[in-house]
Amino acid sequence: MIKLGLKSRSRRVVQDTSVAVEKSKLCMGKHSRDVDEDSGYCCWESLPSELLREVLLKVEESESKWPARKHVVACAGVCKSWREVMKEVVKTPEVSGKITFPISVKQPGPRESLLQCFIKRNRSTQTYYLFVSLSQALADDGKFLLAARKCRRTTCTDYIISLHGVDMSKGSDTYIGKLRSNFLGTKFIVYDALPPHSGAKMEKSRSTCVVGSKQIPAKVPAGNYPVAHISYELNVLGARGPRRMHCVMDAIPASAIKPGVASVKNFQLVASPENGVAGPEHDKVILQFGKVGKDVFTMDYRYPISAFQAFAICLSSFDTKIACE
Amino acid sequence: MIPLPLIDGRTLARVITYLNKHTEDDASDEAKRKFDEEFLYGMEVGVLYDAALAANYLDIGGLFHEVCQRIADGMMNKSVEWVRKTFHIESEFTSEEEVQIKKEYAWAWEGVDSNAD
Repeated sequence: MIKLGLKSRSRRVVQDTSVAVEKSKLCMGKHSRDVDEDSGYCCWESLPSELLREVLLKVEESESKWPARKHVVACAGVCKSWREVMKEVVKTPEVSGKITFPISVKQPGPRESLLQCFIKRNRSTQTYYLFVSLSQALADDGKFLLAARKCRRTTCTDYIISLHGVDMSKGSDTYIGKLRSNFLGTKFIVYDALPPHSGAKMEKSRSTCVVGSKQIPAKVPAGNYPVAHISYELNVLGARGPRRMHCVMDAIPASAIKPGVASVKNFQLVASPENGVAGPEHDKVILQFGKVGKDVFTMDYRYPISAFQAFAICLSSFDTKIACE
Repeated sequence: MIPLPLIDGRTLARVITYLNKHTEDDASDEAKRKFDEEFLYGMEVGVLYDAALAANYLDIGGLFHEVCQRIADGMMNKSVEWVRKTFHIESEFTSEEEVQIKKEYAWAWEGVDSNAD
């Protein structure tokens, strides 16, 4: 007798045979196989869902950091069933601490720790590039996330923010928002190209995200939806002195973010305690920005702000009269 | 006698080989790991498919996880087109869905192997 070593599991084979046969027939669906078992042909489209899920879960677990994380994105592009499973398996940055799909840049950062990024500035093209760090080494190696190009106008300045580092026009489908400053560079508004709740909708309906064309962001007209307001107070002591910065996010209570102090080289934004009572979120840094090189800056952020919002807030500090030079 | 209508003879033989090794009283964890590596090495996609289905059907957790990991490893650094071609999957996305996926594709294309095996 073959010692299967299955112990209690072996009973399932005998008792559930008829049910298992039926279920597997359904799973096999349009499966068709060559008579020759070595041909290697099989219909993976009809893979039982628990098997597909296990494989894709292993892909997701194995590739937690960029650039390898791209495999997770690739698996979500194979077909509808793979996409649905992958979107179920991949958790938001808030939960997993990882950036996966492009939508990650619009989702709140991790709750448990700061997500480390860095910004590189190209002065000649007035362009800024945001990367998520791949290692602990400051600004050494990164995966590109967003780019912003400065466009000075008569009475204001716009920073056009895009998923693409080259094609950054507002008409392009990689345009995701902008930062607009007043003439003096003291007041800023962050605009999202999509209505703020569209991100929440995609979040809630992730499992059905692919199915209906109504849920595809391309259908929503790109516009300008304000999502944050930033202001800098003038420093009476001197143009290069530290200044108070106020940040109000439309989706977050006004009292949730304490006013920060922006110096020439860095600033921090900190969560305020709710109702003035100190709690676990008291004085937790939610955004910190610092100069580490001539045109290189670190940007670390966490819940409740997203990479897009954090990037826009950091861009505002470049535009002030006491910008990080 | 226990009928196993969904598993062909060749796959069952492979499963039994695996189980015989993993139920040996004097086999160390290291020996089992080495066996698994050699056992699964070079298995073709179709064979892996059958082994995964058999392990799932027979509820053999260890084999199921090993085979799924092997399938996952085999997809590393391969493009979407390679996966579709190798696993005989037809994409049924609408043109609107393809637009969204193309945006994500940019994040998946960086440094991928060529489609040739």
